[in-house]
Amino acid sequence: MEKKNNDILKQGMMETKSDFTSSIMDQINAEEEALAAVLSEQGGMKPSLNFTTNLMTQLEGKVPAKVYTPIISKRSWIFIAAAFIAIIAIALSTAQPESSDASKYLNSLNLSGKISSVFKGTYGLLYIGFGVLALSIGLRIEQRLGKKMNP
Amino acid sequence: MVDLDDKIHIQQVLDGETASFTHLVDKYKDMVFTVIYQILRQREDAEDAAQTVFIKAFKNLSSFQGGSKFSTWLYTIAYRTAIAKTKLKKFDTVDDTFQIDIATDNTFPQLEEMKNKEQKIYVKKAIDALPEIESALISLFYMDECSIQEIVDITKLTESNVKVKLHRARKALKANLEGLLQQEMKSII
Repeated sequence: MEKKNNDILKQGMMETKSDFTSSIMDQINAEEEALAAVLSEQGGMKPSLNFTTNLMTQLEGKVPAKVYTPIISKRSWIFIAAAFIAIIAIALSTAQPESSDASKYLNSLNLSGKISSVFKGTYGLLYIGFGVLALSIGLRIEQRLGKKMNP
Repeated sequence: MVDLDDKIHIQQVLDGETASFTHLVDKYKDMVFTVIYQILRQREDAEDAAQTVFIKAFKNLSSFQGGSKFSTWLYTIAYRTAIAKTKLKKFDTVDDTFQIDIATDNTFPQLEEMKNKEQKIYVKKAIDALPEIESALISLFYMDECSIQEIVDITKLTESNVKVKLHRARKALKANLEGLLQQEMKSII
């Protein structure tokens, strides 16, 4: 009985022509082309005839403002600050707390000695080298980001 | 990416030859005015705003880095200036007046009967009946042949938002200009 009903349903369904989809697409494309043709034919609106003259009168004797950009940008300063903080952090991480007393602990850190030792000796040049490298990478990234953000 | 002709004139202006700016103004004034008019809908206001746009562009010409077309940069200033001038509340309120007129009156005058000028007025009315942003997008897309990406750069809308607005505008225009489009389609097919 169910099979019979399905057969009746199938027979009742109408089949679309094989080129149904393409004819629909042709119709849509033709509509789109027609709209584009009508609108491009329409053209833009026109300002008054003396628009350019009025404008140029206002600009007479003026020159475009020069944009001065700082040699080291804001973003580079952030990189420099980050590098500085990193050096401090390296210096601190090498210190060992000797006592639970806060003042003793701070003395044990010997901050000034540690920082000066970072820039002394064989490792001094290495640190400076890393710093310059980090800064140049930072500047390069900043340049690329700047180009992307302000094409 | 910048048109060579534009590049030469931009450089000349930057070198102090203000008169070279005339070339850029003449080249882009119609589209700048059109974009602004579609948003402000008042000729006088649009003309004032267009003047402001070119003055802003002139003053900030050295900040144009040439990463995009000069037209995209200029239309961005135009779009932002127009938006700043108009009330934000006004955006996206659909004016159905024209759509209703057309919907109730399906007897669209045939192309043969319409003079070119009348036809242009009819199309202009249809564009003006769209919401401000959508009509500005339609102008940029069809009249200046800006790409979707360029429109995204100009309007700072998302790509999908631009596509949706264009689709909505197309649909409304197709409905309003049905008769005219039927005639045009006959000549295409």
